[in-house]
Amino acid sequence: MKGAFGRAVFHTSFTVTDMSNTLDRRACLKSAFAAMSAAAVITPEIALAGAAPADWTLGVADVDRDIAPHRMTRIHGRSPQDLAGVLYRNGPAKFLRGSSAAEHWFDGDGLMRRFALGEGEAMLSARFAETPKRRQEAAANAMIVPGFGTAAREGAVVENPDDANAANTSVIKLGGELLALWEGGSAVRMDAGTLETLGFKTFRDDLAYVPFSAHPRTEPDGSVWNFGWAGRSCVIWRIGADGTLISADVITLPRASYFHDFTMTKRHLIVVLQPWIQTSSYMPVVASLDWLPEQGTRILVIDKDDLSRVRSFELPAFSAFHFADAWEEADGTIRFDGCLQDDPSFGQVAAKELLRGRWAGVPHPVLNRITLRSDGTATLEPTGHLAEFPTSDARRSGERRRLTVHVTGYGDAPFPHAVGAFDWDSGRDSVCDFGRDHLVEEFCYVPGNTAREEDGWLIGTTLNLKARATELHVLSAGRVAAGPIISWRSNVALPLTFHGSFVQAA
Amino acid sequence: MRNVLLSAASLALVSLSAATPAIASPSKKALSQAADTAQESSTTAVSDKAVSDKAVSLVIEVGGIKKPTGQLLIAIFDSAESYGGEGDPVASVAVPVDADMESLEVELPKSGTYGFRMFHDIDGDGAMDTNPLGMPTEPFAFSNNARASMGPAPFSAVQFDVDGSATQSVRFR
Repeated sequence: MKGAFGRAVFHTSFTVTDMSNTLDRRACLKSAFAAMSAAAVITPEIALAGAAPADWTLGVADVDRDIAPHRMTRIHGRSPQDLAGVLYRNGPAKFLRGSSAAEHWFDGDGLMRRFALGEGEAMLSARFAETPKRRQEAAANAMIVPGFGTAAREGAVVENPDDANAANTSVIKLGGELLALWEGGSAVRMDAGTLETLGFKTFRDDLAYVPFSAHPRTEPDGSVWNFGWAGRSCVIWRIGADGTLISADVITLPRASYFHDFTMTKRHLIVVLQPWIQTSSYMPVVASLDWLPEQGTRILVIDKDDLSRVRSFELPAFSAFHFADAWEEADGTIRFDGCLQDDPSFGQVAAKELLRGRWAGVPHPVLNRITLRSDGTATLEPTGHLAEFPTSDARRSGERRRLTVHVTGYGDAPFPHAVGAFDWDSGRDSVCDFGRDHLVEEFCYVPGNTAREEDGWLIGTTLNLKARATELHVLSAGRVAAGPIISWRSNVALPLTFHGSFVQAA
Repeated sequence: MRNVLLSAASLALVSLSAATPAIASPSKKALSQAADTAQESSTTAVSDKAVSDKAVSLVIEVGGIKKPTGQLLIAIFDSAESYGGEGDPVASVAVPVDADMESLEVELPKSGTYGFRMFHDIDGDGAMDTNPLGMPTEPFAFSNNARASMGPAPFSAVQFDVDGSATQSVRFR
């Protein structure tokens, strides 16, 4: 523990006599979720009773079983030489059981996709993370376990956060282990080849169940920083490149703002405290959060070498899920990008409605540059470009860079149709529009054969609504508008993923 | 196979007099209270819940022990109020855990309605270990095998009747 800021909330006097208190503290009021409205869900029956579902509902379709490895069909193009490795992507894919459904897009069971590239070929396999949640719900033939936006139902057993772990948000290979990431509990270990689930990752016995978020950030030396959000408490993880724990410290935040991502420079961690604040212990998580825009957005800059050294910046209220890498200039100015929204209505409302086949029409996020100056002032520069899922060249972690890769091109639909690379030097967004028949997922930046950013590749997936198939595409980072260099099509339509990571062949 | 016969009161006193480092102060206090409670209740009038003031036997069969180390700490209550923290357990029991442990027997002051919770204090420090966010990291369980769901199992789920004797089979998850 480091200093006053890093003082943990320890409950070392836990005995059987006060077990109830400790359970209460980390948990939620039973009466609260009992009071939540009964689930109105888009069951197959409801879907069939109404009009034909919008084509984009294929992006939140239900998957019953694992996908055996199969060779993808090359549609066009030639694979770049030297591009070999595995793209892992994770996202929710099981939303329905019996006559019940998850109530929020973020609460489906994680299906790990494995796209293996080499010698011009691509193979796809996919396997669900076998979690206690999945076992409970399979046994009950009902979606009963609570989540980010889904209330608990009769029979749910949640004795610790990992009982509700959906393992559905992201993936990282760390110290040779493939880890499926969620944000409310432990990482889940999976076999990198077969995708067999191996169990929860416990970095140290006394750190069981501590949240390990879906947005770890990697240093140039391969070591990793991550956080675990728990209201006003936040765990700051530091993991070595070999996958062993360096430290896990609890810091206390000035307020219990919900956050899904953070960013960092070489010297600082940057935590953006949007005014979407936990004000109760209600479950699910969204029910515990209130949007309080009058409180503005606060940005904490935390010294990596001493977590008690914190500077705070104020900005008008905005909401955000994702940020891109940050860097620090010689005079101490910090710059980073964020995909900002006016309010959290996507996570609050729209992401629930998606599973009912309805688009709530909330505004899409806009790419912004955020600047924090050493005189304590902060500014936002909106680019005007719609953008989500920002990624960038990991070799430039902590360094000034030109390109921010992002999805875009939403139209009036919930999911994007295009991928772009925004050039901060020229202010231009180079966009590849796949058209309305494609729902576009996050693209990862893969370093090319030179150190230049524009010589890298973008690798990612789309869901082709017309062909009803998931596709894999590679683009040139410097010529995004020219379209894919190569595309492959699978023989399955898998629902949309959130995040992935590309592991280059050794 | 090993069966342990325990009287709640005597066990508490034995544990206290042994004063092993494995029993931390919070537990000593709980055990001490339990001893007082047990002795008081043996001399007080029959309450409306109790149907007899004759000592009765509760056998607890324990499954799912993961490591043969430390001790089981069990708190037994006779009302929703005391179970909920407003009052003391009628008995608090600490039993060393070894590889052969299958069941234990607790003497209760009288027939009536009871409920208990227990945890496996694997490292024997007398306290429920928690992670830095305060979440329990040692196995716990409730009578009737009731399960916690985002909070402890309620008394209505853990309560059972003891009429002369009773057996509870409880398994750690």
